[in-house]
Amino acid sequence: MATNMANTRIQRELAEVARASDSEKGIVSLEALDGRLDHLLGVIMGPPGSPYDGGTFKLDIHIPVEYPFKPPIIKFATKVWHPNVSSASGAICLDILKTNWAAAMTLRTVMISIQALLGSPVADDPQDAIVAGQFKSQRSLFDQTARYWAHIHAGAPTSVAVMDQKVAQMVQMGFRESDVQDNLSWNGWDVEKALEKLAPG
Amino acid sequence: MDIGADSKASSFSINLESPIKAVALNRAGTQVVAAGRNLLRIFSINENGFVEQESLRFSNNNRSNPTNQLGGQCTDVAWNLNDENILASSTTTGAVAIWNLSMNAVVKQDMIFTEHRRTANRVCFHPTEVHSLLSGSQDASAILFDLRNREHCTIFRCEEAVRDVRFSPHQYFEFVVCLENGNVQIFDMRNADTCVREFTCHAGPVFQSHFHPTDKTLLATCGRDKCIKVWNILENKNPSLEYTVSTIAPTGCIAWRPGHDTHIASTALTTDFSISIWDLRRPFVPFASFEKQTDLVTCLVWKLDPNIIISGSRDGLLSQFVTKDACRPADKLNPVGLDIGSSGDLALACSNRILQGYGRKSGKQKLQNMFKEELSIAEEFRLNATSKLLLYPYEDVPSLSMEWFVESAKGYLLYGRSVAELCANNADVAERNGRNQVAQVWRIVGFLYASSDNNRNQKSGHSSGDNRVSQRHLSEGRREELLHVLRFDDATSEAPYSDNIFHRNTRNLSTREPSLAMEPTSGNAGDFLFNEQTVFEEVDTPFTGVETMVDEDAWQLQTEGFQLRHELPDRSDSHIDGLATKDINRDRNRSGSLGPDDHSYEDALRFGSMTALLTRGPTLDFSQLVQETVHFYAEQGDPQTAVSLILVLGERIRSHFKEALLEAWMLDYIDLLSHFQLFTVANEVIKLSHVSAVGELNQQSTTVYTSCNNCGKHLHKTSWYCTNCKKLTNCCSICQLPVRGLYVWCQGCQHGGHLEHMEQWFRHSLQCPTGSCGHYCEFI
Repeated sequence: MATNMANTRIQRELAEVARASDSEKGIVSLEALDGRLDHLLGVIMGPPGSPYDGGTFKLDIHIPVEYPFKPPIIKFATKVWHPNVSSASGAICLDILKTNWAAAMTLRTVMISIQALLGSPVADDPQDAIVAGQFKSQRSLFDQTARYWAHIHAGAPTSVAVMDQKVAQMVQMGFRESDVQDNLSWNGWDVEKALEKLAPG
Repeated sequence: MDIGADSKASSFSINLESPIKAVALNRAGTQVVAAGRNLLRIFSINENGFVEQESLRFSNNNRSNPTNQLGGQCTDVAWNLNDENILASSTTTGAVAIWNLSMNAVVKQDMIFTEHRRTANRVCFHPTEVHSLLSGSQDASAILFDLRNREHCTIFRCEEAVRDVRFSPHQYFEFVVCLENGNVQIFDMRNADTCVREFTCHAGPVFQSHFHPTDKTLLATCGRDKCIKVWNILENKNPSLEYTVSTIAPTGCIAWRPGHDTHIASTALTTDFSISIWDLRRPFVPFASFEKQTDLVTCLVWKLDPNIIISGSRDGLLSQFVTKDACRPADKLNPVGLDIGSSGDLALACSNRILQGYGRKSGKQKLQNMFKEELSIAEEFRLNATSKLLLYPYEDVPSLSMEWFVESAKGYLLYGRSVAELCANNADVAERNGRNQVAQVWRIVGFLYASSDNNRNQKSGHSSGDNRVSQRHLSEGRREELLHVLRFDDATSEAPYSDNIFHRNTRNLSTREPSLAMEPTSGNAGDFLFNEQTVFEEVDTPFTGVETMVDEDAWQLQTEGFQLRHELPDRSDSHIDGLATKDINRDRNRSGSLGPDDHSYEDALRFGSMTALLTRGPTLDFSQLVQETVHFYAEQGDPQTAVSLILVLGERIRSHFKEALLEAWMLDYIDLLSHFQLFTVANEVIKLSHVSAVGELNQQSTTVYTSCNNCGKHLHKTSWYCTNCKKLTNCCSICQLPVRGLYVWCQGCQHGGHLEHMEQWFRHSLQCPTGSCGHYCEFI
């Protein structure tokens, strides 16, 4: 259980997000899970103009006992295709969540930073090497994949027809849809390679 | 730089035989008005002298009509720039008078405004608006009068007494207000609620401000902190300090020199009788100065001509100075600088030219060489002059090192133990620092005052009071005194009867009955105690034996009680002997709240009077000796030893020194301590000083003015809540709650918070907890 100071701070931060200005409303929201103050659910919207536009991304936030001396532990609960986010676990690579954490930062500012990270990936400091590689070499394919993932996982309105087709094709072969999506993405939408991974030999 | 060689004007003066407080010129610069005590005279300025035009008479019905109170003393005078016939003057009573020269009466006083409740320091006409007059007063307000309608005035409330007001010549609606707390506020005439901008200019009062005549961004201010500062007040930016001129005395008056953008004239409030003209690019030596005055110059104004200054001085001289008559101090100077750092390092900066000459020729030749090039020296300050900086670290010049001072200041104990212990400790400290003579002094003093506590006799500051008190108490009933003795017993539960009271008795005895005091001690401790015991038995109190107490304990008790509470009342007691009896009455009423010292002292007085007949002791007076020693060290320029001796011996010898002398020594010592940043010791000295002028140091400037860290708004009423941003300011950066108790602030980035939180944060981090500022804070 978080310390007393952490508790009061989290309460204040919940209130801060709740009374944030209208322009921020809907972009960022935060709620306590099961009435506990050390495990929170944050929600951010995909930044406009990015492949994540229109998606709703959930964040799993754990507050350590030492908070605010230690940064909150945050990962994506929604699957995201992003160089700085692990496509498998949702772990985020962001300096302020690690070495550059400062006590004066709040969950609101951190969530806004994560949203900004979605809008401007930093491929030189990747969390997910496959995604980062794709971001660097095949930018259009990366954009499409990211948009596709935002559609299927985060509920973004626009999908990518080509990818839908490829997935449908492989699902017909009897594989699970989620496995197909992951493997196709990891293999650059190369159906052959994905098949090899899914059914080795 | 030309210095007015072409001007035909000459310097002259006229003696008005009354101190001049202010002068003002009319718009054309042909007439001047001088104001002072019962003085308001107008002169026209001719080529070779002032010719009196008019002496304005103060109305006689002052006393009969208090609302019309003009008082005697004018503090300032202003000439309407748009109407030649209108003058305004302010007075020490706060009245602002308007004079109309076109009136056909004996008393040409047109109107009087009495809105100010205290001295009006400054009046100022609007440069273009004929009916607007601004005044600033000690009652912390500036008032904008409309001369057409005397009912109509706008009051601008400021946070402190107003020293100066001045309309901006560039912005129609703006004026600037200089405050006694060192701040300068810029107001908009249309908005009386709040100032547009506020910034801190000086440490201590700001005496005058002056807008640069051409450059709209520059504002010059001067203050008691011996500085003239020029600020860049460009809008939408924080005012930045552009130039600083350090003067030798508090500067009372400044004026930009017309036609010379970097020249500003100044006069001092104390010490310095000269008028200096400074070139901002060379802020250390005046560009030119007039040094012939015999008294303080109180006001000065440029006569629209860059070469002529009109000034008034305290000895009543109204003078015109022409710059060609000024001396140029820079020409007399050698470009050599020498300073000694606080740790004893010696730095010498020297022009290369001199060094070269020194290397080649003998001293005499070198000097001649310098005089030949006299004219170029002044010029060289503005050019790039090559020079050498030589640094001699203190190891090379051990005699300059002040390490002993710092070490002694830190090591000396001034209170909290018995005199013997304090002296022994201080002697050790002095010895460790190689000051054997001082160590010896401490030992001797320690020996004298510890071996016999009879020295308390020396507390003769109370002798007159003692007399009266004891007489009074002798006449009071014996029983009451006995009760007091009992209360004394309660207050200091383990009071050292054997020693302390005995000595207290002898003190009173000796002061009251000197003839008896000369006799040898007849009653030994046993006799005395026996007597006391019978006293207690008489009033049916269980008295459980007598314990022989060590004197030290009594001392600790006394200091404690004295330190923790009732410092102020006690202080007044020690100074005002005549009130001693009154104090006793008061103290008796407050019996519960008294510290042991108060009790023991006052009761000892009575007790002494009662037992005076029982015991008597010899008087040994060392005070003469100590007094001489203290004087010796003070005159040697060692206030440390002198003040420390006084503080350790406290009441025993304090009364042998004049208060003014004590004050001077203590202030000297405190100055030195502050110089070495030994603020804790300095504060200790202030606390223990018991000199009212020194004690006040701790009671001045105790207000902290805060401003919002988000929008920069000054927070006056609600020090922690910004009404602008609607949030609490300066919360702890870590828990984001307002801080009660210890607040740690990084002086570098101005972020901070609870001490314990910051400690915790910096245990694993180097950077500021705010993150966004990225400052590597230095914490402890």
